[in-house]
Amino acid sequence: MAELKHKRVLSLWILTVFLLFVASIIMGILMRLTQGNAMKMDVSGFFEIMTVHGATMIGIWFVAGMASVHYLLHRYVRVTTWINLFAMVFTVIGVVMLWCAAFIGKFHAGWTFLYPLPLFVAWKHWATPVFLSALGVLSVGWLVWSVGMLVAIFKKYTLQQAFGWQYFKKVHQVDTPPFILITVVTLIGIVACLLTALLLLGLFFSEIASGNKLVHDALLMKNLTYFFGHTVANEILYLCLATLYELLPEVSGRPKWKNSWYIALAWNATMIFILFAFFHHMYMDFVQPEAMQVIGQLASYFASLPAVAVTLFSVLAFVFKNSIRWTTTNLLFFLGTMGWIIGGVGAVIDSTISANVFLHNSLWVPAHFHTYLAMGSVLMSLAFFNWVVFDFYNQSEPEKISRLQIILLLIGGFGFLLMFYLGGAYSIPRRFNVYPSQLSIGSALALAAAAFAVVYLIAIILINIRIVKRCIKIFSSASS
Amino acid sequence: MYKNIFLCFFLILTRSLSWGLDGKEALSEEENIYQKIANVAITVKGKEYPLSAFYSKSPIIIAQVFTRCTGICMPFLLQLKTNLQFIQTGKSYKILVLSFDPRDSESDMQQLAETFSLQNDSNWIFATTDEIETLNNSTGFRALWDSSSLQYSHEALLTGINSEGIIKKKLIGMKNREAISNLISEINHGFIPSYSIPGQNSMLNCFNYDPVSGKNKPGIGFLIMAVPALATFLLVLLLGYLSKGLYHRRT
Amino acid sequence: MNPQHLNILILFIVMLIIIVGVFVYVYRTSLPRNTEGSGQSGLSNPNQKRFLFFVILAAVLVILLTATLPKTPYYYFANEEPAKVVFVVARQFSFAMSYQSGKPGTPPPNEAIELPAGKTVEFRVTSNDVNHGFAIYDTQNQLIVQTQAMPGYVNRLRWKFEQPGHYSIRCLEFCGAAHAFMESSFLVK
Ligand code: HEM
Ligand SMILES: [Cu+2]
Repeated sequence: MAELKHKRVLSLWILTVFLLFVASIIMGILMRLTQGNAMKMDVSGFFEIMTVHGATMIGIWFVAGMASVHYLLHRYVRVTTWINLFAMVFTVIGVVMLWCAAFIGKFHAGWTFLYPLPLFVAWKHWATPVFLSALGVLSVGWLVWSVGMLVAIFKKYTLQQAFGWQYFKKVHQVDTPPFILITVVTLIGIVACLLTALLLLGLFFSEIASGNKLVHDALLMKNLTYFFGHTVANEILYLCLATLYELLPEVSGRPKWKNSWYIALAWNATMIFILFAFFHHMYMDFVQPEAMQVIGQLASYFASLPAVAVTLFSVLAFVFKNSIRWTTTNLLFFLGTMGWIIGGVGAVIDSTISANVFLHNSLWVPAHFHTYLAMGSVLMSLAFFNWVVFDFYNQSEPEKISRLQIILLLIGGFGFLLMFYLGGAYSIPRRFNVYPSQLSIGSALALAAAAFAVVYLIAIILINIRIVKRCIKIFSSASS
Repeated sequence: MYKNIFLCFFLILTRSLSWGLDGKEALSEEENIYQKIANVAITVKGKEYPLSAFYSKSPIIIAQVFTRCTGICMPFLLQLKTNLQFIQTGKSYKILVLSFDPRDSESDMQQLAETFSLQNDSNWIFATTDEIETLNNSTGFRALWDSSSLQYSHEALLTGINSEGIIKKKLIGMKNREAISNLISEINHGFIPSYSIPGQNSMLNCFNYDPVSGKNKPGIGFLIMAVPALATFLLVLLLGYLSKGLYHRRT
Repeated sequence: MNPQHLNILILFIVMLIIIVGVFVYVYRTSLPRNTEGSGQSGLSNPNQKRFLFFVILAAVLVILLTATLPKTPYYYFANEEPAKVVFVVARQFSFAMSYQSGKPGTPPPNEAIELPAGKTVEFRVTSNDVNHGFAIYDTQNQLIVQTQAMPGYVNRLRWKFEQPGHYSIRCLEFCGAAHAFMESSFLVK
């Protein structure tokens, strides 16, 4: 369905993502092994790996979401391929700079680079500017891409249609596919958080340029940091959900989902709430005004409500007592929804201020976001990959799925996650390279987690072999 | 009018200077907090009282100045007076303006009161003390004599004392209205969960807490935080508007 | 594990089981052997059920909100006068704690801290360099309460320690290479 050039770009994309994914999982396992005292890593090395793992994981799955949305947008509007290429080049440059800053420059302030830590240089002097510039490069690349997609959409749909506002009227002539609606809502969040990233980087560089004479407000910088970091991590999932709305019915051989007033309303509400949920990162900053804290909890709770009430219910109702032709693709979508909801429960618990008092920055935090990323959006993106490598040939995917792969994936994934949750409940702090002797239970959990993560890695490789093979074939056949 | 312009200018100047302050200055507002103030003897209109005679009646705010000051003292007092006129807390407190210059006499202080038309305001007390050193140590006030200019080099300090004589809160420098209402609230058994420290975070402050209304007034930092989101919505409106109707033209 | 930690873990596990159960059940109803012949297809009255689902979910969230929002930590023991006040200055990679606040220009004072059991105490927490955490671990090594140490700000944390014994302080905001070793402690008698 898509032209050859486009297929090549996409298959290269998929290969890159997969390669970086495996590398980052291995880094994750190394971190867990270090925390479990099964291996030694020097202190700065651990946090370099942590920085790279976080940034790379967020980067590749964001980009995977972009790739899928871009591919599917072709069905409705005219999008150019060059913009995808542009984003890809910027992403590759950004990631290479990131890895250089961390592995050569020893930069290890974490992927959230919380002010003013990057300016307290404990690494090579060039590493901080290179790391910050790397994020700048990524932000610019993704920003241009997002605006490009919005322009493409607005060329066909008016403002009201893009937001699905016509569904609030009694009669409407034009239909907005749910895919378009969710994409627009997501892109708006993405543009907002990328602009914030650029602003934040500007403030950083102004301080560096002034020779650290100009000192910024740590509270403001923290707010900006999490507006960027929290929102970007969340929008990954919404990109995946757009894909899910588009593909789940299709691969199951059922009619497309129709938009309606409550779907439109839900996603419009999500768009607003998502912009305020990041306040929950400042709960333990007592200087943040209480009103913001309360808004943070309200927004965190209600950001999940419409998306869950509409999407979860739709997915369940879609499967319930309907004969489904299960393939790897729709099964991964289904399981991804489950992972997202479970992670959501963990998130809602953590975004409760009175619980956050003793969960904040404990392992509960990586627990919940790994749930909706590693067992949520990753699975949904893999579902898309699975589907698209057949779609390249206008084939539909064979029905056979391997029970073993799925079982390995679930056991590995949830076993790994459960160790994080238990760690959180045992008050084990996040971002510790070794656990103090009073918290030695953290090391035991880390070892178990490493074992489960290996299982997860095996499952991921097994599931991906087919995708990788086909991508290589597409890529090489085209170049000959 | 003239005074206000001067004040504005002065404020901008002190604001911009404080950007460069390093961490050393930062914690001086915390110094001596929760300690009992030295019960020095002070002289008001020729009569001598122990300090406790004042704070045991109602919480007090001590402002340490000297009348021959050509620097911060006058704008400081003026700003304090103006700010207090706007703060209606309904809470009780008195302002004790105390000289830290041994040259200042009783009448110098009364003159100072008259300069600000405060000689008949029962909330304002202008006084001297013979135990300057003791009081300075107790409040953590530092004044350095500069013999070339015949001036003290010193900071502008407000010390808030509750009715038990405990130093509950100090403010250094020219502070805004919110900070002063915080101070008043704190010496009246109020609790403010967090303070900003002078010097480090003058630039782009996020929020200003106002205990009078119990609300946070968004500061300039808050506006900055909202800029990207607002810009996004404007951008989307613009894009939507520019391509409006294209759909209908094509179909 | 403290009861509050345990409750949260149990709540999560119960939700986990419910969610997995629902997904497995729904999945099974879609298998050909279960749909064939029974003549069933899909959910009847989906929109009505969706609305019900939405209402229940919203109600649960609202109940949770009203139950938890009043328990924010910012004004813990705000109406009491603290029996002891501890000034905390965090810096890479240690905590300086003292009953006295420091003199400007000199390193923050650091002394062994002893606090009375059953009385309100106040920590005035700030940072000299980057963001740090200030998390108090009880005698069973469970995190009971925390605040952040942010440069340029003083955060006031009030607490009443009922159990006598050794309490640990840990930094919970990543602050550089030796972050995991940033630790201190105090005694409650
Ligand atoms: C089985 C696969 C994975 C393993 C073994 C793993 C392991 C880890 C570990 C050990 C940490 C540090 C936890 C700590 O704070 O102590 C971490 C952090 C993180 N992981 Fe993963 N992870 C995996 C998958 C993922 C995925 C799929 C994503 C995102 C799509 C992801 C994103 C992150 C992020 C953003 C952080 C935070 C880094 C930071 O604190 O700066 N991880 N991971
Ligand atoms: Cu620290």
